[in-house]
Order: sequence, then C-alpha cells, then structure tokens
Amino acid sequence: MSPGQWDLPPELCCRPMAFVALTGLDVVYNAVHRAIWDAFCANRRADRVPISFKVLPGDHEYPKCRTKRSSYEWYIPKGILKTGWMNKHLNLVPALVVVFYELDWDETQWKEKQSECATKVEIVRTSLQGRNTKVAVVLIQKKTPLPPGEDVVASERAAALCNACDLSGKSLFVLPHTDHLVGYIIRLENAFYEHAQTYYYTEIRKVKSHKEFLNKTTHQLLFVRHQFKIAFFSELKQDTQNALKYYRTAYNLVHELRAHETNMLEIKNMAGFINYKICRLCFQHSIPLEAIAQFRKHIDLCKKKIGSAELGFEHIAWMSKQFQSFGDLFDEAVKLGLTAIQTQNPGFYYQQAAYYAQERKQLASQLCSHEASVSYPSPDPLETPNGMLDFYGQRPWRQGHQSIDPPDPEKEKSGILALQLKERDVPHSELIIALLSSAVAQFKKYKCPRMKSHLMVQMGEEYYHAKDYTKSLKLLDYVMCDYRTERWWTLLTSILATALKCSYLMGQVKDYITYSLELIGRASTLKEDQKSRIEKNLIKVLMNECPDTEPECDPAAVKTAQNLWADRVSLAGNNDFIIEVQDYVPFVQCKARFLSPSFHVDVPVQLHIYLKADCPHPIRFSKLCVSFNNQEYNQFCEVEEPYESNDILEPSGQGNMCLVPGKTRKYHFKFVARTEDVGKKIEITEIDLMLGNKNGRYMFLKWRGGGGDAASPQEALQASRSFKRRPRLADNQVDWDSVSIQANTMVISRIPKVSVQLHHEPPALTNEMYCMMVNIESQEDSLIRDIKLTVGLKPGQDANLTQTTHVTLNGTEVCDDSHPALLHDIFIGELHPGQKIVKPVYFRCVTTGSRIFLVHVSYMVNTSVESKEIMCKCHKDETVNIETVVPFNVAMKFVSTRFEHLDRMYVDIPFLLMTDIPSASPWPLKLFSSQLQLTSSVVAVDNLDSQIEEVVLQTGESASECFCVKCPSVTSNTSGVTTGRYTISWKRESNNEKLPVVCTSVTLPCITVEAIPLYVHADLPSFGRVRESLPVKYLIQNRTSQVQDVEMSVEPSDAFMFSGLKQVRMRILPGNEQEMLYNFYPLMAGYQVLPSLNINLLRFPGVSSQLLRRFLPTRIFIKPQGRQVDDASIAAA
Amino acid sequence: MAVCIAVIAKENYPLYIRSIPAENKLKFHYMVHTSLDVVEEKISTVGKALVDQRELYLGLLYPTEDYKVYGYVTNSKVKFVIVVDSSNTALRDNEIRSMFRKLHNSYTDVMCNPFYNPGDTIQSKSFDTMVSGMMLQAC
Amino acid sequence: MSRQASRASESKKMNSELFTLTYGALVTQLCKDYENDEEVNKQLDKMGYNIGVRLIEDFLARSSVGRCHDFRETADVIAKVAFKMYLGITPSVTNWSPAGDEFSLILESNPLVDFVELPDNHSGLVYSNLLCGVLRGALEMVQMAVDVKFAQDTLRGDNVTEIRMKFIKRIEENLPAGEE
Repeated sequence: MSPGQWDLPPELCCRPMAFVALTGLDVVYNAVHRAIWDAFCANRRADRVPISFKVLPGDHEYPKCRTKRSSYEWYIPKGILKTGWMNKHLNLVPALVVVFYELDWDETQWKEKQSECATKVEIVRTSLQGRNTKVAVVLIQKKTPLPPGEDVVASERAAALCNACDLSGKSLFVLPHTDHLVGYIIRLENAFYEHAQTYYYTEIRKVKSHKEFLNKTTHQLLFVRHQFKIAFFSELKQDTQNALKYYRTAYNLVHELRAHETNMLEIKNMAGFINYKICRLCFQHSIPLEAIAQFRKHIDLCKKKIGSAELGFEHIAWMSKQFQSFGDLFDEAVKLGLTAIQTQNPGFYYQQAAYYAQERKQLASQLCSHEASVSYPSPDPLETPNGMLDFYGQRPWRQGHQSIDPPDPEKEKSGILALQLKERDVPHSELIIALLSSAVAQFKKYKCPRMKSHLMVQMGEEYYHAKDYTKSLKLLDYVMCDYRTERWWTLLTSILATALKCSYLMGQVKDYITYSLELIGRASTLKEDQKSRIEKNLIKVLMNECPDTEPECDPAAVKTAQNLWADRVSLAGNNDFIIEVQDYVPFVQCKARFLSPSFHVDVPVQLHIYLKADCPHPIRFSKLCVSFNNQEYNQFCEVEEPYESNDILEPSGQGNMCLVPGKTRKYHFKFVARTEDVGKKIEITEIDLMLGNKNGRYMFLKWRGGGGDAASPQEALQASRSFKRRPRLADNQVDWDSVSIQANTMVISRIPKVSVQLHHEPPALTNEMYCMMVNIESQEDSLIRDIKLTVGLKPGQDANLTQTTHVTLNGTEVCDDSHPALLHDIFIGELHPGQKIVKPVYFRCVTTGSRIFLVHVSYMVNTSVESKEIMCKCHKDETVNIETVVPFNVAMKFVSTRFEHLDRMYVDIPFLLMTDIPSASPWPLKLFSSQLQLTSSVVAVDNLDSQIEEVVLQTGESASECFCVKCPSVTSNTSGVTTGRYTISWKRESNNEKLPVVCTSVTLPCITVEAIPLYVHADLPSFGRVRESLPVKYLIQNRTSQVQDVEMSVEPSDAFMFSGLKQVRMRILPGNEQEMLYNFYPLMAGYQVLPSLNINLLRFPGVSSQLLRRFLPTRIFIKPQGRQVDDASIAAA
Repeated sequence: MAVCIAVIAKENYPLYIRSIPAENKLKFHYMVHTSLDVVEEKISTVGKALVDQRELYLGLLYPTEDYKVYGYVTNSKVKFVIVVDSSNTALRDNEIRSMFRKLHNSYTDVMCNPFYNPGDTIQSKSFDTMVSGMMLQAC
Repeated sequence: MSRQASRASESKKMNSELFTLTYGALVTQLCKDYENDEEVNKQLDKMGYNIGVRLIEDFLARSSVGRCHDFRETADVIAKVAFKMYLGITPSVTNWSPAGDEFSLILESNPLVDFVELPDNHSGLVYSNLLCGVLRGALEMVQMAVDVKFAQDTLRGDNVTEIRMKFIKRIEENLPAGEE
C-alpha cells in the first residue's frame, strides 16, 4: 500500500458529471471531426452543461452489465461498495452514446448510407450489452439545414433513418459544420444533457426497485450500497439536493451496520466517503454550519470504532485523514467566497489532523517496532490480483469475507505483520510537518499569532524527531522571542531545551553556548540538577572540551555529534564568540551606574558596574570592559586578569573576578573627563564580559547601553513596588534591586571661584544713562586669563525690550539707538589671585518697565585633577532685575490772561501757556533748562527764557513755567492748530559730573483758534476802595473790516454806583478802538461783582454778549474804607 | 471539573497556572497561551457593540477535540482561563460562570493582601485551596 | 452633656475595606523601613499607644460608662463595648488567672487581617500589634498599667486570635504616665 493509502479515491473527490461517449469521429486525420471535437472539449466555459465527453471507437466494448438478479433471497453481499463502481459510471458506462455519421439529406446514395448508419447504431447497441444507455445519431452535414417544415425531403428521410436505426425522433440530430459550429454544438449538448438525465433517472429507479427484495438481516450492506448509488446517480444527474438527502440516509445506514473488528475498516471507509460527499455538498449549497455539524457527528460516531488493537495506528491515521480532508473542503469553500472566523477556520482541522498524525507516529513506534530478525511475510498478504481491492476498505487477504471471525488466523497474523512493517516505512514526521504547516498558514490568516507560534514549536519538535536539526533550530529560534516577550518561562524553557539538543547534535558551538546561557539563568524553570549539568557542559565547552551528551537523544545522532565536537575541539582558531545578551535572559545580569548624573570637569568621573550571577555554581570571568561614546575613556574601565590556568572554577588570585551565585559584585572605575567634553554627555555604549580564556575558547557577553536584558525592565518595576525591606548588608555588599541604571552623565564646567558684584542705584529713569559698576574679584589660587565680560539685556525677554534698551561702555554722552541691547565678550584681561577690577557699564532704557540684565564673566584657569593638569573654561553669571520709571510728567495747559480756563483761543488775543513738571523720580533731578519751540501759528508775546534753569527737584516737588503767547492770525483750519514743542534738559542729581544731560521733549497741545469780531477789554486798577471813585476804561475794538454798530448797556449792580453812559449805541470803524470811560463807586468791601456789560453787535446778532465780554473782569477786590489818621475822613464817609 | 485553571496578567504573562497532575503540564500551558489569541480578539474594542464591552464572562473560547476552554476578563484586563474536559457534558454554562466569579473574588482577596505585590506570581495558600476545590469537585 | 449626645449620634460610616487596606499599607511600609520584625512590632506598639491615649477620651464620651470597680469589669467593658464600638466585633473574655489579674480576649475574626497572608520570611511579625498598644495606652489614661500581648494569631497558623492582658499596677494620680 502506498503512502497515500488513506487518501480518498479520485473518483470520490471529483465532481460527478454525466458521461457521454462520442463515436464515429476520427479526430486524428479528419479536420472536420477534429473541429467538432475541439468545439466540445476546448474552452468549456462554466455555463456549459456539465457533461464529460469522450471519443470512443464505434465498436468500443462497454463494461458488461451483470445479469439482472431475479431474487435476492440467497444473495449475500460481500462488501458495501465495489471499488470500480464509481469509476465505471464516471468514465466507462456512458449515459448516452452518440454516433456521428456524415450524411447529407441530399445524398445520392441515400439508401446505402442509411443502412450503413443503421449498422453502426446496431453495433453500438450490441456493445452496450444490455445497459440502458441511450443512443443518438448526429448527421454531419455540409449544408445548412433549412428551417423545419420546409425541407420535405429532409423530414421524410429523417423519419426513414429513425426507423432504420430504431431511434426515436428525439435522438436524431443534424450538425452542419459551417460557421456557427459552437452554437450548434451547444444546442446538441443541451439535448444530450437531457438524454443523460433521463438515463440516470432510470438508473435511480432501477436501484430503488431493488428495495422490495431486500431484508434487513442479510442485506444490510446492500441498503447502504443502494442509497449510495442513488445518491451518486443523483449527483451525475446534477440533482444535488436529492443527492444530499440520499447520502445522509446512506450515512445513517452505515452506522446501523453490525460492526466488529473484521469489518470496522470497511465501515469507517464508507462512512468517511459518505461524510466527504455530504460535507462537500453542504459547502456547495452554502450551508457551512451543516457541513460542520455533519463532520462533528461523523467524528463522534467514529471516534471509538478503533478496530483491531494491533493495528490501532490505522484508526488514528484514518482520523487524521478525516480532519485533513475536511480542512481541505473548508479551505476550498473559503476560496470560493465563504468567510471563516478566528474560532472556526480550516486551521483547527489541520491542527487536529496533525495531532492525530503525531499520535499515529507514537502508536506506530510502539506497535511496529519488531526486531530486525522479523522479515516481511511471503507471500505478500497485501497483494491483490489486479493491484486493487474488490470492495473499498476490505483486507486484501480476506476479500469478501463478512463474518465476525477471520477465516484464516495464520493469514490474519501475517496480514497484520505486513501492515505493521509497512507502517514503519511511513515518513510520519513529514506528514506531521506538512499538516502543521497548513495549519500555520491558516492561523496566520485568521490572526491567531500564539496558535501559530505553538504550531511552529510543534513543527520544530517534529523536525527534531525527523533528525532535520537545521530546520528545527530555525523554527524554534524564530519562535523563542514570542514566548520571551510574553514571559511564559515554562514554555520558553521547554523550547530552549529542544534547541539545545539540536545545537548539540549539530555541533554548533555558538548556538549551544547561547541556549545554555539562558537555560542556567533565572528565567529557566529547569530543576537545579539540570541547570548544574548544563553549566558544567558550558564550562567544558569554554575550556575547549567536548560537552556531555544531552539526555534522551537518538544514539546514532549522538555518535555523529560526538565526532563533530571532537572536530571542533581540534579546530584551531575561530574560537571566540560575541553574544549580544540584552535580548535574552542570560545567567549573568549587568547594571552600570554613573555615580552622579553630572560631573564637574575638575572632578573625576566615577562609575560602578554591578554583576550578578544566577547560575547554580560560581563562575569566573577573565575580563570586563566598558566602552563609551568617546572611545578615549575605554582604557580606564577594564578589569582583566591574565592567568595561565585553564580551569575556570579554580579560585583566582583576584578574588573579585569570581561571580558567586546570588551575590552582587561591584567594580569601581574612575577617570578624568576631557575638557572638550564639557557640555556633552558621556554615554556607555556597551559593556563586555569575557568568559573563558584565550587558551581555550572564550566568549564575550555584550550588553548594549548600560545593561539590562529581556526580563529586567519588568523586574525593576516589580522591585520598585515591592514592600520587601532592603536588607541591611555589610558595607561592601549591595542589594541588586536597589541599583538603578544610569547609563550616561553630563560633564559640566567647573565651578567658578570668582566674585562678581554689581553696584548701581535702581530704579533707572527713562532715557538716562544709567551707570552700573561691575566688580570682578578673583578667588582662584592661580592666575586667571582671558577674562571676558558679556553684559546687557538678558536674551529671551520681550522683543520690544531689545529695541528699547541700549548698552555702552562710554558714559560721556547719551548713546543713540544704534547701540545694542547686549555687549559681548568685552576683554577684561587677567587677574591674579585676590586681584580686583571694576568696569563701569551704562544702560539707556527708552521705555518703562522691568528688565532683566545679565552679567556674564568667563575666564580660563589651569587646574589639576588626579594629578593631571587641565585647562578649564569657567564662567559666572549674575542677573539683576532693573525697573525703569519716568522721571517726571509734563502737564501743560493754555489759560487766559486771567488764569481762567480757555477752550478756544481768539486771534490776536494773548493767552498763557502754563507748564508744570512734577517729579516722579525717587532721585533728585537737576533741571538744566527748558526750551519752547513755537510753531508759526503761535508767537510769543513776551520773551521765552526758561524760568527753571538749574533747578533741583526733589521727589514730589514740581517746577512750573508760564509763557504769554498769542495767535497772530487765523488759518483756514481753525481747530487742531499745532502749537510747538517743549524741551527739558535734565539729569539725575549725582556725584558723577561726567554723566551727560538728557533732553526730553514733549509736544504742546493743539488749540482751536477763532476770530472774534469785537474785542472788548477793560483797563482798571487792581483794586478799589469803598466810597472811593474807581475809574474804569472799557476799550472796544472792531476787529472786522466793516463798520460795526455796537449797542452797549451797563447792568446795575448792588455793590457799585457808577457814572457814565448807561446805555449807548456807537459806530466803530474797522480797526478802530472806542474808549468808554466810567467811574465806579464801590459801596461794599470784599471781592465784588463788577457791573456787567451787555454788548450787542447789530450786524452779528448771533454773537452773544457773554462771548464779547469774556475778556472783561467779572470781579474786583474792594478794600474797606481805610482808617484815617484824623477823624475828618471818617466823618466824611 | 476543571483540568486547568490560569490567571493571566494584563501584559499577558501568567500569574498562576495549575493543572491536574496526571497530565502533561506543558500541554495546558500551551493551551492557555494560545487561547489568549481569542481573548485578545474578544476584548479589542474595534467595531464591537457596546454590550460586549461590559460583559466580563467571555464564554467558550474555542473547542478542541478533548477540551473546552473558557475565558473571563476583568475590567483591569486580568484574564482567567478555565479548561474542562470535553467529555464532561454535565457542566453547564452558569456553573462555569459561577466558577469564574469565585476565581474573581479570590483574586480580589489576594490583591488586598498588603504583602502581595501586584504583578508577582500568586502564592497565596487560600487561593490555592480555592483552586484545588474547583479542580477536584465533581460538577 | 451636649457634647456627649452629639458624639454618640455622630458615628460616620466608613468602608471597612479601606480601613483594612490602610492598615495593611502601614504595616508593609514599616516592614520596608525597619530592619527586622521585632522593630516593626515595637513601632506598631508605639503607634497603638499614641492612638490609645487619645481614643480613651472619645470612648468615655461616647459610651458613658462609669468607673470600673474591678479588673473583671474592665475586661467586660473592653470586650463588649470598646471592641464592638470601634471594630464591630465582640471578643469573648476567658482564661482568667486564679488571682484575677490576667485574662484572654478571644477574637473569632479580626477586621485588620481580612485578606492578609503573612509571607514565610515574616514569621516573627505580630501583624495586629497596634491593638496591644491601643489597649495599653487607653488603660494607662485611666490609671491602669497593663501588659498586653498576642498569645495566638490566626495569621501564624493558630485557630483563633488571642490577646492576653495582665494587670500590673494602679498608677498614682500625680505621676505622669511614662513613655519615651
């Protein structure tokens, strides 16, 4: 039996199609016949009828039909289904035989041809030997037939032909081989299809008719057989619904058969076949759940039907096959559009098939391991006459036998032995791996990564058993990191153990070492004795000896391995390995820690390296070295011991090169940072630990960065949360969990020993030259050189401040806006220890507000660290916050000559400008002078000399000035007339005479100027006296260019009596002034209201009296009557 | 009767796995590990109805030939997995649910032990006792 | 008088799990900070003492018990009133010594130790030692010097939790109750 003994027969797996035989076609030599045949079989599209065509010779002999049985009474069936039956009906016994015959209706020798045709038909009929196969005739004609009914000759001759051939009219066809060949062929096919369906229908009825003759006791097998046949014929007929129904019935019947050891295999075989058909049809009908349910039922029913115990592997192989073929069906359905999900997909079935295949292998090794002396039985009990069985699923040496006990025990034994021996040759591992592979592909598709990993582990282990160690190792290695990442240590350990065996058997030293590293470490779940054994082997390898064999390995492979190892030992060179361990969980852990996250450049950099071993026995290393991003530091961080002894376990002279399990070792390194590295980070790039020595083998365990491996981040997290107390250990011992990695450190500049002091008097006043004295004193022990000063506005503040701040060293004049806000690198020079230098700096701030100023002093100094001279650049910064305030505010207003508020000025009438300068400065201000610059619209009436020259204003004091001006003319724009500027020059009162004077200028307010037609003003003394005459002169000026009529009247007042015109009308010429004289006689003392004038301009009725008399005083001070020396004046009053 | 009970941390590593001694322990470890695929799929919130997200009991994860694997996930993403023998058809869904509830309660008690560091493997004796009871009792 | 009444009605409920977890966090932090279990036990006792000297005031205000005439009465008050009021449990008073100066409180359950399992390396830890300090401090404020310790502890494998209290002497009024 071939390895494919469990495969389903192809006749079962194919899609049954009606079989139609075509005869009379010479496809080799006849082009027309060839064309016809091509039209039938080439490019059959899916929409053409499902028929399988075959060209057969006209006298082809069809399988003999067995004689119809008259009764079933004595018939005892020998098996369920004959092996040839399906093939017979698929490929041998056609539903329809078609006879092709070239004959045109207008054939001259019609009669001869007709009888020739009839003969051919007769031959076919004879060769069908009693079967119900239909026969049809197709006349190949050269001419296109005329539409039916038109060709009388044709219909006559057709009838005649049918008669001669004994055919019905429906079985005669015409095929013109003209242009539309394919179209005609398709019509022919459809007709054939109908005939075929009729044939199969008849066959079904024939089988069904057997039923009444059957009895349940003897004909059990036949019930199954008949149902199967009916179902199969239904399939051929393309009636899949009914086919499904009959297959289901057949299936149930199969399980009702009386089953014993001898016929178990046949029953299972048939059950498997029928199940296959049912499942496939369910998938085709898009009812996948039913397929799954059927399969489930099938497995449940067949699971326990094991059969012969000695051939138990057969049952398992059969189970495996069931799952595999269901998986295939499922997968096929998915390809045709079915959607599978994560929990129901073909992968599970392949996986289970693989599982059974594994069980098969195991059972086979138990049952089939005969001694070498046992030979294959002869004659071969598995041999059959034609290489095939009669019935599916029967034993070759007792075919047709249906009783409970085997007929010949001896034959039975030899048959069993033969099967067992054959089983031994089956490549189990290959089968298992192929199934696992299919499963992996499926699970990958349905997003089951862990299932995929698990299956890959199984594949790896299967390869190991199949002695394909390379493939095994490749798979296991690939899958290890999944389990490592997810921290499933038990599973990882198991995989590592297998990988170790593989690497041992292949003599691959590096892999062997790498796996050993993890297997003796803290993540490994092996027992202590196992770890100890592996550690001993590892040490042997490092001493260039052969390791002991791994337990439970195949003896032959072990022998090969030992040879390989012996070779490796003698091979010189290539004995060093570098293993990057941060992705594994090795048995040595490493942590690096700089003692501080930053070091000054004049302090030696210190770091500790901590090592801890977790393996069972102490192990010694021969070198530890640390590499940095700046390679020059590497030389300082090495621990090495050259020694001649080959034994790593021997304690060395240097006790601290030995790692004791569970104890943490600390190694301390120190070096001086380079001055070029100031401001940069020193980083540990890798840590290397060398195990072994150069005489034997050695390996470097390499950690990238500051240490740590695949499990340490989680462990560190757990340790930080833990309540466990920190054990109080002796001084030189360290608790591993309390160490955290610090893999880099920053080199910062040396602490400067210089004092920078700032002397100034804040707040600053806007625009002044604010002086700050910078005192630099050296407190170093040696000379400091190259001292540079950077001073000014600290960068990073508001952009506006940069525009409005100016710094200079020159304090003799006010610096302009071109000066920057920050002066860089002003050279100061050198200072000896203790020496001082003072530098004045001046700021000018244009706007008020808070500013931060920076004073940065940098210098170079020589210093020694660890008895090495280095030159350091140091710097010291001082910042200071300086407020700027306004020194004063200028208040200006225009008033009338009588100090009364004016909202508009009148042409040519003087008014006053009053300025007031209150000091807001906390410092005394010295006002040097003020200057008034008038525009052309305003002229001075008086001189404009400054009245505040050399005035010192204390805080809160105020300086005022008063100027008399007037507007000479009115312009067209009478409002918003600019008046000019007022400039004050001042500076802070201080001892520093050299500080320049600041000029602050303000714009005078604008005024509104109006013309007035009449200017009325008065000339009168500044005071009066009771009962003394007070002469008052009123002057009325006509400011217009026309003659004005003016009406004037004087209002009486209680305080005065007056003489003069009470009411008067006058005419004043343009430009002229009229004088009105009055004598007022005060009656009361005090500040009295003068009699008011009512003035009317007859030409300007809109101009009010108030307006006109605004320039007149309203009151005058009247003194009381004076006390006379003599009494006469008193009497006179 | 459970044949294997496991508690898995939210980072998917095992906090506790116990299986009946008669069987190969590795087989159960693998079974629990692979069942995490289904658990992860179920608890991923992409495109799932809101109702599912609140349900802690995940039900039957997937059937194998010989065993049934059930899952349960807490709101803190700690997962419980119970494996029972397929042949034990008497075990009904609500019995499984109550087993999970018991597990969840015991787990909460373990968390409340001030000496237990969350994230460590579970070594509580009372938890062990509860699990033993679940593995021995005939359901 | 009014203060008493208002205190009696004012017993706010707090979740007992929060209390248990708080106590647990306290004990584990002490374990982390101190070198050995003996030290931790001492600290718990000290803390309990500080609680006790204050708690007695609250207790007397709430429960309005009068002066106890003898040690037996004291025991009953402690078990039936004090434990019930603060921990919600009522231990039983047994095992009186012949001289009547020593007795045991048997606690069926102890709310401080819900969910707690002692790890193996802390076998010397008296987890609930706070209670001893509380009792000692409280009784000291009512002029009784007592010695309190745990005789049995469910956390360490015993069936019940037993606190043994021994009367030492009466404290004279004008001597300050000493504690470092």
